Amino acid sequence: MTGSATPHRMRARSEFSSGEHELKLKPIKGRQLVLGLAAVLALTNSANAAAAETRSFVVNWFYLASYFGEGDCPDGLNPSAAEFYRRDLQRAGHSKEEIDAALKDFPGEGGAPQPWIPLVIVRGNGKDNIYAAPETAPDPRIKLVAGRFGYGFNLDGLGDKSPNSFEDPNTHERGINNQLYRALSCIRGFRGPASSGGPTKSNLDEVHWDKLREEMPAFVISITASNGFSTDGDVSIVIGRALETITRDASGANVQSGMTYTLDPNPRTRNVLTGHLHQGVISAASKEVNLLADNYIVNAFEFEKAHLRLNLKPDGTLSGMIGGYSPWYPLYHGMTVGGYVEEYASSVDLPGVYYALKKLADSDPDPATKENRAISAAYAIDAVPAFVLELGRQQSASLQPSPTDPKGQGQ
Amino acid sequence: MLTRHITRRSALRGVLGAATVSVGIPLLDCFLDTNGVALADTGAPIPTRFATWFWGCGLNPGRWEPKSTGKFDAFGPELQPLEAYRSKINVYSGLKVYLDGRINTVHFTGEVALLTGTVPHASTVEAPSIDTIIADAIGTRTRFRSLEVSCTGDPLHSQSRRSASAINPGEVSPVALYTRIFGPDFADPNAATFTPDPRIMAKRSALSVVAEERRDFMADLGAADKARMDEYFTSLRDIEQQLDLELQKPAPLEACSVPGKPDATPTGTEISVVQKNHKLFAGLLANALACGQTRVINIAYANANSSLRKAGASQTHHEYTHEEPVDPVLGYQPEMTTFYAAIMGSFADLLTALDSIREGDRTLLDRTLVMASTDSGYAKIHALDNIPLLTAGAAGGRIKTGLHVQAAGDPGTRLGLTVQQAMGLPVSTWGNASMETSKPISEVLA
Amino acid sequence: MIPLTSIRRGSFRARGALAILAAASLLGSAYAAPDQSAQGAQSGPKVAARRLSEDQYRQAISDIFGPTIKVGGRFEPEIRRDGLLATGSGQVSVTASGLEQYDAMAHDIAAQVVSEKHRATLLPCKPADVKSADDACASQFLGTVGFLLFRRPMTNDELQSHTKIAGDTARSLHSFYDGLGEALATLIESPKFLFLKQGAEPDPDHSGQFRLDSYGKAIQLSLFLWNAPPDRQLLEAARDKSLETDHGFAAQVDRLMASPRLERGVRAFFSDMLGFDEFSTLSKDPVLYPKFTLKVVEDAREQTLRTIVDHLLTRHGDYRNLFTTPNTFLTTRLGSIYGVPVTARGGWPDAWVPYTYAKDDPRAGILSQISFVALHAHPGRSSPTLRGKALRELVLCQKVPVPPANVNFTLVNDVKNSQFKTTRDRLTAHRTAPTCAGCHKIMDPIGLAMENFDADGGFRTTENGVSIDTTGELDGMKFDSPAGLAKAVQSDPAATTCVLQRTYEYALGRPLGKGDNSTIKALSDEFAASGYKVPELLRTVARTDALYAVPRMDLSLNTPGAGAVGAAAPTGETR
Repeated sequence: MTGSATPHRMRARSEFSSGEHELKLKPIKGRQLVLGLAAVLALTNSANAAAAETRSFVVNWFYLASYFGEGDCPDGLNPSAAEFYRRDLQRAGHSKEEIDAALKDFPGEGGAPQPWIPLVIVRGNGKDNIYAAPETAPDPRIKLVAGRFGYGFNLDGLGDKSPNSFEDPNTHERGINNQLYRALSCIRGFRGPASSGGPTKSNLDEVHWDKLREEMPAFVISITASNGFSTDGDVSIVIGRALETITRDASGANVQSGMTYTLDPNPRTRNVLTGHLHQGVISAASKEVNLLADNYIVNAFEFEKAHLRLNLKPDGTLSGMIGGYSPWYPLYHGMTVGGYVEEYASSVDLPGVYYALKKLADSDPDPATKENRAISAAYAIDAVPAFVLELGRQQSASLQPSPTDPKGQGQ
Repeated sequence: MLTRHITRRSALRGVLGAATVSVGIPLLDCFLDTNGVALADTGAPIPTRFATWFWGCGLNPGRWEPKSTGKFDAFGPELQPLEAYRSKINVYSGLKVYLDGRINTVHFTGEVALLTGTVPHASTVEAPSIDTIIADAIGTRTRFRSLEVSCTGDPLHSQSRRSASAINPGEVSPVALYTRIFGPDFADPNAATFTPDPRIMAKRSALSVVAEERRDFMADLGAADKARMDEYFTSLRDIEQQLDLELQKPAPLEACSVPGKPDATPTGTEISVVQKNHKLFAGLLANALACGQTRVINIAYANANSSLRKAGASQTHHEYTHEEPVDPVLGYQPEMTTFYAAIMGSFADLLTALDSIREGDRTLLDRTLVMASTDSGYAKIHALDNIPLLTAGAAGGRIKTGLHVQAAGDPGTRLGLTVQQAMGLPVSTWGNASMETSKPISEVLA
Repeated sequence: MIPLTSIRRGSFRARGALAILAAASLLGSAYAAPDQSAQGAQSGPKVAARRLSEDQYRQAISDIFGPTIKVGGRFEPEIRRDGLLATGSGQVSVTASGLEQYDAMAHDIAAQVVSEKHRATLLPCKPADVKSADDACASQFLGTVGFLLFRRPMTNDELQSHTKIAGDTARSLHSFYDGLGEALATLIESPKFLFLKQGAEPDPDHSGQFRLDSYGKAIQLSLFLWNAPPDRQLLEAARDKSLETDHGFAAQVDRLMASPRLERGVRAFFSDMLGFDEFSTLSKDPVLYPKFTLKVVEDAREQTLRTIVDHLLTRHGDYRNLFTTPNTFLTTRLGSIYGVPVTARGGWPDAWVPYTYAKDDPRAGILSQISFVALHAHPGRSSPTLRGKALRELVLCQKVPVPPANVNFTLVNDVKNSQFKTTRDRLTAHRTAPTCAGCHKIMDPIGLAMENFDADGGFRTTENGVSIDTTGELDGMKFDSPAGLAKAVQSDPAATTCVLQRTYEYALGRPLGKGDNSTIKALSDEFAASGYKVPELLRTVARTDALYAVPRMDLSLNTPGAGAVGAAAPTGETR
């Protein structure tokens, strides 16, 4: 039920003659190239000798870049909701009889009043809402990821010497900073199938993203390669939000490719990164990337010291990763608006998550308290081809597709 | 053995020689036509019944769909409990719900969209459920327009709704249901005196005018056109016969037998309790159908959030769908999937209850259309695509059975439209916005 | 008036039995006067009564009772005969389950008409007592509505018997409106509504020959130009005989041509000619073609019809250029299949946007659209044979023989075969095996030039990594791309002959026979002279006498299964 295309499916439609590239993910130092922002969507050719090319995509899947495999949670997974509620209510001083009665038909039916709900909401100190005031409860010290492998980027530049860092299981790059993964991925709801070639989606990731993409406008990516995509060269990438929501294809699970999206010009959600195409791998970076999402689920994806790594697959789709330091409190807040529903449905101990994020945050110290306000994170991206147009250009007469390139990306 | 020359009328007159009288006449087989389908001398069909059956949290994609389409010879593993009734079941795969930008109120949206044809706005439902539409059409002349039950013990676990705000609550106790149907207010189909419905009389006499115009209309037609028009007038005679039947005292229903009163049982969401109550309900409702007390029954096996659980385990079926990891070797969530076996086992119990009542040389199941629906495809991600849908029973011959239809990407309202058409409702479209469809699943319509 | 000087006068014989001629006698006044049962020679000519199609039924109810009356239910399917559903309508009847549906629909419609919501506007009178019968009011309503439903005045008998239904029912149910509703429902499920029976009368201009009576003419004209039964104005023109005059007839033709409803008629005609009823079962394998959703199917049908209406009616273009026009209309979803960016104001995915392809873009013309290349392909792969066949039969009106029963499809279905990477390779047997080549050489070379279009309509230049060779040929004309094929069709005289032939057959409701040759020749000259403008063609056909002639049949041929309706050609000039 995932969206990955098999090469066989697209055999009759392959247009990319990118040749046989060795798509080994060699570690690439994040060089920041200064590149002019000319022709981001390349409606005109650049002045370079080799023609510039633009390819655009719409994001199909966007999820925490997590590694699941042997040894990732050596102390086992975090407890289920019934278990940690029981534990917390005991600590809060309730009697065994009270707790048994409250949890008798746990969880009961959502929507109808359940005896355990009013108890767990204030299980910190018996009177304050624990989701708004998680520090009314002691730190339950949830189990963290303690394995060797993880996905993400070397954000602090320390490489091997970076404390609490991971090793990429495929490229073996060391010094991967992804404390968000460390905090969450031993929680049951955040578990996913074993990773082999790259990050895999956890249960909650699938749920959250599938709901999110249905309700918010689409995320789009437009890549302009100054020497075309078959040769190494500079790239400029726009990653932003469209005005339109996604349309699903006949499978229902994936976004339909080939649709047309208009880029939302709102600067709060339109980001430009510069970088390099080298042996088939696109790497780019930017001081910050902000993508507004949807208040109800995830307010925004924000990255400082943003890094982006993308691969164009032979079947025309795009896959890769974006990472950076994300403010940790909004991440907690996004989960906690779900309150006890988030907790009981997916066994997410919210105060536990609060403390874990706070402890693992590794960037942006608050000048007053000296506590870090941002946490290293990485998200995996799967995207399919699309037309992405700037607002106001959509009726341009020069927008004629090339008959030999039906995806019409090159002009 | 009685010969064909004895009609019910002559049997009546032979006994009493008068016109308006009530007598219990056993339904002898010789009064059925050669197909065992109708009552011989009036040619009237035994009515078609409708049932809805609902379970929560879908099924694992790829593990329920038969491999082949059309007549299929094996279910996927999760539908295996239904094997004994495979030839009487249709499987529909690939159907989905389109949200049109509305929020997927998880579990609720899927349930409502497939049963009302509309996607709810947050929690506001915009249309009545399909069972009320059908009951309004076929249930207006039975004692109960429809009967609803809820197997989890919660009366609000019902998917039947007449309007935006009001759910038709389900009966939760088999004993209470028994009393309601077969208790002191139960009227034996044999005993009642009968008054013909004046509307039917009016309709019957109006149609006779059209029939009388036949000679005039055909007089100046050529031979081939005469043959074509003859077909029209033959069809007209069929309708006249149906109306004639409805103007006569209802036939005694040999298939009707009053069941014994069940013992009181506890209610709840624990799976073995649900299974037991469901079985009791199934038996009672099957008898209610056979005794002509209603033509529409609605069974909520569980709610869309599937609160089913196992004794001693802290997680419900629903929680397992989100929390249990997918086994890398099996490719699905093993503990969660055991609930499906129990759910489908209970569905088989319902089919057994219907199939064990004979009406003529068919069974009650053959004369019923059971629509089994759920709220999601892959429940783990609240997927609204490839939602498992089943029908059972031949709807009195209007549905072909034993078929697997794959309608990938089509709105699930296609099944609702098909079901309504099979039940004889004059609808050509159903649903609204992107759930609107005018394309029934013609492969299964007879 | 357009003189068809090549039409010969005189008598004609019936030839070429393709439809069944019904024999009876009908005098011109048979339906207007009460109680006239069939009189006269049984050997008089007949016109096969066409059954109302779903569209026509809905139009009738909408015209008579207004568009707020809802019509739901399952309509009996239509059949295609000799290339057109319009021809098939003369051969279908109504089955038992179909009549059940019609009965339910009729009662549903009648109930709406007499309901409180509608009775004030739709009924011309109120009863003296709502709980009882009122024959005067019932008769007034039923007579008016019956005229429109039956498409001719009701006979006294008919009116009386239906008024009686209303009265009896009203008394029995103690409700005037229930009674009226029952009587109205009976009218709507009557064969006199469901079948378009056309009366014939002796032709005063050509002794011994027959023509449609006024009401028959009205039906003929209205079905042709609007795909609907005649509206009130047309029926009045029939009733007061103005339709019989040159002036009156021309005025009605003008009115119908000038109306926006002409577009519906044109859409209905091309949907029929191009086989768009197949859309109801069109689908593709969702794994191989995930973009091909139900919405795409709807959009695709609409795209071609919009293109046709725009080119032929709005731009008043040459018919031949339909195959090469770069102008069309797209939605974003269609854009995703065709590979072009399409965005409408506001970003609505369902909005239609006019789109013009670049010069020489192979996606120009209606043959490159999904309604042709995807409709005539398999769910999992393209098909040069199906496309070639469709071009021959639908666009050029040329017959292709049926394939033999013992064909081995294994290699053609094997899309993964490494030795045969492209469809062209896999169809080698078609070209080389003698039993196959005879027929396939008239189909495959056409379709092979369209292999750039995948089964879902998407454009591609390679198949399995191999470049697609799109050389092909059509009756001697060679080309090497879809654009080349389009130009070949544009210049093929069979294309214009075909649309002309189909137009005439559609209007007649029967296939052509030898006796129609001279009419066709004259129409064809006209069509060419006009620059192949379809509105002109429609007008010419509407005004040709031959359309309203009812051929006589020899007595000796007056047996079931023999003879043909309209096989004889018409006489006389056009109006």
